[in-house]
Amino acid sequence: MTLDDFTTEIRAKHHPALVAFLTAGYPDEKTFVNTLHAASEAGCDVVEVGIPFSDPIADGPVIQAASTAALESGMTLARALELCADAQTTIDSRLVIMSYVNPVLAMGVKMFARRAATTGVQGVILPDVSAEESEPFRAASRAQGIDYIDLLAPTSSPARIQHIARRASGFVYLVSVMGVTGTRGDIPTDLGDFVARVRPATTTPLYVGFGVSTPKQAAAVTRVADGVIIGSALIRRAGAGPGAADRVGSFLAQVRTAIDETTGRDDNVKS
Amino acid sequence: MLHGAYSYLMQDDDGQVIPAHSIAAGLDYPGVGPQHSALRDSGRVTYDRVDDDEAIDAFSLLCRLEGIIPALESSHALAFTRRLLAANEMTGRVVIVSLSGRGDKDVDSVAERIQS
Repeated sequence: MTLDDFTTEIRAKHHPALVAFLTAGYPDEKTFVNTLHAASEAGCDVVEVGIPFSDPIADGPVIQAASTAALESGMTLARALELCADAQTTIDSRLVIMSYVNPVLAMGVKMFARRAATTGVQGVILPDVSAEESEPFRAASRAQGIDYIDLLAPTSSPARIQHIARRASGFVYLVSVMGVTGTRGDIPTDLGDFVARVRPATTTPLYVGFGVSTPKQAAAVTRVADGVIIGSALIRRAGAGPGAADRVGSFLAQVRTAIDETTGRDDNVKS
Repeated sequence: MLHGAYSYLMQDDDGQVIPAHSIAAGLDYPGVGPQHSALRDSGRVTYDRVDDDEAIDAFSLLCRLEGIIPALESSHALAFTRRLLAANEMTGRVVIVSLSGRGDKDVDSVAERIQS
């Protein structure tokens, strides 16, 4: 079953999607793999594996620091794919790779898609590729049965929403706020309006990320969107010393419980 | 690709960007513009390297000879020109150096460097 089939199916069942973002190799390789398993056991539908990059322009301080630490310990795109290959045989969560594009270019676009598909990766997010430049990456992914996941921002114009959402697959990544990843005090009050603007443009499920750090905020998101993506809040827990996997797992279990109480989502919600 | 620009880049085999260093702020970046990348590919321009010391020497020389304070970025071009002349590669030819900026902005960092 492709990621797109899966996300469509769980939405049809009114099951809010929980996506965990984890930086590959953080805080170390073994703990990362344990945390990946913990995320799956806590009920994450998708785990987004972030490839550390020297210049993570979309990320806030928490993920930046994790990225730097993972690079210093020798993590690479190739190694992360190997770890995914090992993990995917024993976890239930679908795996998506989030990478800045330069490591993908260094590996070769087609080679990356082939290797990702071989390792069981089902989706790819390249946050620094603009929609206008995305076709080669989209085509290479499609050829391997991998969904190419697009991002939209609150400032995306109606025409751009149409252009991007129309060809989206897997899920559409809605960036909830302007700026970089990381904790925000509040979920934007106009999130419902943003989701409502994208909704008519696509049948692909809409997942919201950036700034979600508590179960309560996650539940506020899944009241209007089909899924929620959590990153920095997990990375902070992963980097806080021994017991990382348990800490991340129990937090995600709390998030799972909170969002499962929001299944009475109204598709026509207005802010 | 770095910061949204697809161009030649200082990077390792895994596509991680290698930190750059130059005394000239305008050169202290691991990438070059897409225009330079295209000029290199078309063979119209060849690129070479000049280190901090050579650039400072050329900076001082132009100040002394002409009373013109060149930008540290342009000082690299002057240093390379000195190298060409020393090698007698330009005998009988007219050489044009573009002083792309003025060095007023650089006097503090040059002073610091010369004094240390």
